[in-house]
Amino acid sequence: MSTGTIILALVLGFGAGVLSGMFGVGGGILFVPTLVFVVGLGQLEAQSTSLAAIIPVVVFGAWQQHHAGNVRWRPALIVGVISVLGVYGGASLAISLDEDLLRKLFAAFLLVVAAQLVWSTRRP
Amino acid sequence: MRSAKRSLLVLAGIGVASGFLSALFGVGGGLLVVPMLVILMGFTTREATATSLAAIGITALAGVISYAVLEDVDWGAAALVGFPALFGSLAGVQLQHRVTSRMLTRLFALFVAVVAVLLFFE
Repeated sequence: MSTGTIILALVLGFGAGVLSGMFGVGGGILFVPTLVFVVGLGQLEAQSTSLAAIIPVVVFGAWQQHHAGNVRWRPALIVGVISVLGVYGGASLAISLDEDLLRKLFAAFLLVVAAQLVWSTRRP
Repeated sequence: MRSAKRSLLVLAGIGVASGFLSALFGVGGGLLVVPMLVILMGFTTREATATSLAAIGITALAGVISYAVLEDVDWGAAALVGFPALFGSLAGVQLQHRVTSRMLTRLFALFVAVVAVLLFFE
């Protein structure tokens, strides 16, 4: 990785954090495109790397929210532990798909996210 | 008792669906967990967001382990975007109270849509 790439990745990582904090979306939807376009990873590796990048952000966020008294731990643990079953299925499917198709599916998923964001701004 | 059983089933369903989405696309899954906790479990948005973060910690860890066993994870790149993002999210949460508006959210949605189109033709 060149110095320019490293600096750009750091800046975009920071930017992804700012946007995720502002709009309440996960960092993942921004990490994956950053890793594809800037770092030059393939779609699958960008996704696995995005999951690793998410961990410090969510652990810190959860710790802060715990201290603010907002986390309901029993439901959190049930959802988190049972999600492992879904993770296995999702990862197996992602790995079995052609990488170009996976990128197109991810792009379609981003459009759904954009639509959900617009929907969230409708007047009550 | 019946309602406790229903809650458990609903939470389990949210868990399986969010884990699948998370691993399939390399995202946290909060996009699914937060609205589901609000709609199906009657959580406030604040509780749902906080609870989803705690759940996603486990989901993302499981996802990384699955991928690390089956495929490659670029740990250097993960640290390169993940740690600055941690500080960025602190700034973002502060900004949220001040400047987030309907207009800004729509602009962000447009940005996400443009990224989607670029990825589609990558």
